[in-house]
Amino acid sequence: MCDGAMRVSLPPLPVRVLLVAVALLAAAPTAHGQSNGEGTIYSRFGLGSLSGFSSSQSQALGGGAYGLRSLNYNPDANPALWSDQVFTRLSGSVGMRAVRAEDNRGNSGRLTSGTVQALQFNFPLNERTLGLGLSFQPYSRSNYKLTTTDSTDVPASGQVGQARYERIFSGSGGLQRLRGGLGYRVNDRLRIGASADLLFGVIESRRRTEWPNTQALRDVVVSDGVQLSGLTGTVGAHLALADVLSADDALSLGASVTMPAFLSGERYRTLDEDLARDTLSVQRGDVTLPWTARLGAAYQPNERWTFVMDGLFEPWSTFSTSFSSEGSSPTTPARFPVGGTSTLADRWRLSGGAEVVPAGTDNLAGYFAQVAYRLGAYAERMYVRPDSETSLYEFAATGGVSLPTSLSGTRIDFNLTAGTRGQTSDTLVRDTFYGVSLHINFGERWFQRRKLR
Amino acid sequence: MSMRLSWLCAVLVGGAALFSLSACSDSSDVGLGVGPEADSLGGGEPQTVDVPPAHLDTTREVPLTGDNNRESPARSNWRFLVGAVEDPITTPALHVEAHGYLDVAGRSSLPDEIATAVADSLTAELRLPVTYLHGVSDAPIAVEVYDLSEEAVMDSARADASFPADMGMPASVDTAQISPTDSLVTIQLRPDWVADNLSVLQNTSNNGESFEENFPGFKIVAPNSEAVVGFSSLNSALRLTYADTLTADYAALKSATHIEQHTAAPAPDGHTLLQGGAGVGLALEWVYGSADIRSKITDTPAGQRPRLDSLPTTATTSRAEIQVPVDTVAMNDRTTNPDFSRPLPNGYRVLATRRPDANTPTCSSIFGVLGLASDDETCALPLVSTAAPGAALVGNEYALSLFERSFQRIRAGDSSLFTTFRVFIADRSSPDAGSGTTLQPGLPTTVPVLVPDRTADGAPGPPRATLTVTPL
Repeated sequence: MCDGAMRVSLPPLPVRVLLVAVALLAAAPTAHGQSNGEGTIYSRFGLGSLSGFSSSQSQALGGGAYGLRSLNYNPDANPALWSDQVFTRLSGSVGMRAVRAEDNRGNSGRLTSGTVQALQFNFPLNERTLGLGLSFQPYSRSNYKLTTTDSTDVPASGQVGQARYERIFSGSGGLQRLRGGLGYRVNDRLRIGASADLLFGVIESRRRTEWPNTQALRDVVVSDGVQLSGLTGTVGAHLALADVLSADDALSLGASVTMPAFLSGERYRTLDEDLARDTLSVQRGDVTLPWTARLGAAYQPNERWTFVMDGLFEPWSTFSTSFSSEGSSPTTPARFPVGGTSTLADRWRLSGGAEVVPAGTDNLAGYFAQVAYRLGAYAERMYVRPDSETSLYEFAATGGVSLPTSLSGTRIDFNLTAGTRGQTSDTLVRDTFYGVSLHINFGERWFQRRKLR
Repeated sequence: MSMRLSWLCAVLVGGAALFSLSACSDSSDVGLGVGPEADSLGGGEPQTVDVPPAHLDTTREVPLTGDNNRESPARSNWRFLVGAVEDPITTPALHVEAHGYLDVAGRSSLPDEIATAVADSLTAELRLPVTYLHGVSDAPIAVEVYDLSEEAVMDSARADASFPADMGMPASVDTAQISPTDSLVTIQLRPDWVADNLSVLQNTSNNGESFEENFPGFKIVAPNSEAVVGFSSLNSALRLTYADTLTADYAALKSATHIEQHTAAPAPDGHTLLQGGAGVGLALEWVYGSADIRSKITDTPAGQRPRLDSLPTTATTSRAEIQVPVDTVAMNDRTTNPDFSRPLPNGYRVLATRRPDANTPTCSSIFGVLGLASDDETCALPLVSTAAPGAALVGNEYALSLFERSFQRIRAGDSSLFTTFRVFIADRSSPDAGSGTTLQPGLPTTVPVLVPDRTADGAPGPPRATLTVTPL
C-alpha cells in the first residue's frame, strides 16, 4: 500500500527522501519535547547526560572516529572532515534506549525512551576542497524518573480517611547544540575546519505530588529549571597519510578542540505547570563549560578493513557558574549544578572499533558483501560524581550495519549499544542500558553541473 | 524502483516506531539517595494542618425577615414569627420576643352572599399553618392581633424593623389562644372588627387593589408566651365566613417579623453564641504574613497548630476546607425541660469580605462561578449543605481557590483576597437543599447555636481552616 501510493503520487525518490528529512528537521523541537533521552539518575547532575553523537559510523565504532574520513558520512565532531565532500548530504537519526537501574539492595527500575539523536546537513562548496556543515543535536539530556508511594490522613467533611499519594521526581530537557562550520582541504594530506556552536536549552527537574485515587486533592508540581544559551567554537584538523605500513594502506589522524562555552541565563523555581505555572523566583547567572579535546586515528590496511582508536578529554573541574550555590528559602531554585561543582570531575573517554566491508569497493559484489559491518567499544570516566568522591565509569560495546541503497551516496544504518555505568556502592546505582538506533544518510549531487566525460 | 520504495517504507516505519517510543517506565525509587544529602531528592510529602483564625469575634448583621409573595426572589416556605421564648442555652436564659406582621391580598370577586352581607352575618378569622416552634411546646399561647395603622413596606424588612399599629383595641377576640403543636391555628377576630372593616373587605374593585390600598394588615403578638411560633407566609389567610357555610379567603401577601432580644447573656464558657433572630454571627480572620519558616510546617509538633502566615511562602495547598463546628451536645445539655423545643438550624451562611483594593478580583473571577457577589465587597460562599446543622462548612471546591489564590498573591508581594469571613445562622426549609441554596438568606428564626472557641475533649473543635499542604 505504501509502495503503490508512492508510485502514483509522490515526486522522484531523492526529493521524497529529502522531504522526509526536512520534515524530521522541522519536527525536531517538538520531537525533543516528547522524548526523554537516556534515562538515568546520573542525568540529574551537571548538565545531564552528554550526547556527543558524531555520525552513525562513529557511533557504531565506539563513538569516536575523529580521524576517519568517508564519502558516506560527515562526522560532526571534527569540522576538518567536512572538507572532502562530494554529495549534498542530509542525515537523520532516531533511537531508543532502555535503562535498568539497580541499587545495592537489589532493587531495580526501568526507563525506556525514544529520541532524535541528530539532524545533519552538509554540502560541498567546492567539491573535495571546501565543504559546509550544519547540525542540530542534543548536547545534554536530563532524564530520570523516580517514584515513591505513601499515604496520609486527609479529613474531609469531618471524616478522616487515608489517601494514597505518589511523589514523582523527574528530570527533563537539556541543552541543544546548533553547529555550523566549514572544512577545507589544504592539500592531499592536511585538512582543517572550524565551526561555531550555539548552545541553548532548558534543564528542568520536577517534583510532583500526585493523588492517583482521588480527584478531590490537587496535584502539586514544583519545578526547578535553568535556562541557558551561549556560543562556543570548534576547530579541527585532519592528517591523511598513505602507504604507511604497506602499499595502499592509509593512516589518518584527526583532532579537534571545542573552546570553553560561556553561557548565560536564569534559573527559576515554579509552582504548578502549563498555563497555571506560577513563578516563585528567578535568578540570573552565567556558566562556563570546559573545553573539549578529541584525538583519533584511523587505519585502513586495505579497502575492506578500517580500524579506529580515539580519545576525548574534558576538564569539567574547570566548570564554573555565578549562580549562587545555596537555596536560602523554599521559593529559591534548587542549587545548580545539583550538589555543587564538587560533583563534577574531569571526563575522559577511550574508544575503538573496526569496520569491514567484505566487497571492498566492488560494486558488482553481492548485496550483503557491500554491507558495512561494525563493532566498537568505549570506556569513559563520567563527568559527574554525585557523592563528590567516587569516580564513575561507563563501559559499552557498540555495533551496527550499514546498508547500501541503489543511490550511491545513500546508506541506511542500524546501530546497537549495550553497556553499564556507575556502581552499586553506598547510595550509587548501576545502570545497565541497551539501545538501538536508525540512521538515514541521504546523499546526492546537488548544485553541481555534471561534467561530460 | 519498487525495491527502493520498499526499503524506504520499512525505514520510515521503523524510524517512526523508534521515535514514537515515549518514556515508558517501570518507575521506582532506585537512585533516590544518589547525591549529596543536602541536595538529595526529597520533600513533597503532604500533610494536613488545622489553622485556626488569628482573630475570632462576634459580629452582627440584622437578618432579612420580610417577604412579598408577588415579588422576586420568590422565597418558598417563608414564615413569620410570633411569641416570646426564654432559651436556657445561656445563663440567665436568652429572652427573645418576636412580633409578626401579615398583610393579605385583595380579591377580585366575592361570592354574592358575602359581597352583599351585613356584618352580623359574617365572621372573620386568621388561619395560620404552623411551621416553626422554639420554646415550650405544651403551653397554650395567648395571641393578640392588631390593625396596622398604615400601609407597611414589608418586602425587604429586616428583623429590627417595626411598623406602627393601632394598639388600643385588638382585632382579635380577647380569648384568642393557640396551641403551638397544632399544624393549623385559627385566631378569631372580633365581630365589631368585621363591622368596622366591612366596606373594605367587600371592596373588590380594581382586581382587589382598592382593598390592598385601604387594608394595611395585621400585627400579631404574644408577649406572655413561652414559645415562638412560626407561620407559613404563603399559606396563611384571612377568612370570612357567611352563615357558617360559605367562606372567602384573603391569601397572605406580605409578612415580616420584628425580633427583639431582651437579655444579652454571656455564652457558656468555651463557646461563642450565634443567634439567628438577633443576627449575631461569628467573624473569622486569617492573617497572612511573609514569615518564611519552612520548618514551621515540617517540624511543628502534633497539636501545635501553625499559623497561616507562614504557609504562602512555604507550602502550596492540595485541599482546603473552612469549618465552623456547632457543639450540639453542649446545646442539648443545657436544655432540661423535655417539653422545650429548640430546632437546630438547617443551614448557615458564610460571607467573605473582599479586600478593598482595586486589584482584588471579583467574586466570579476568584471562584469561576457567577452569582456569588452579595454586594460590592462581599462574596457569599457556597456551603456543603449536608454538613448542617453540625457545622458551617465551605468545601474544598471553593476553599481551595480561596486559599491558593491568596497564597499566590502573597507570594507575589500582594495581599490576600479576603479580610473577614462572617458566619451566620441561615435556617433552611430542608437540611439537604443543595449548595446553591446556601447562598440565600435563611428563614426568620430565633434559634441560637453554640460554637466552640477552643479545643476540648468531646467537642468538635474550634472554627478552623483545614489545609492539606505540600511544603515547597
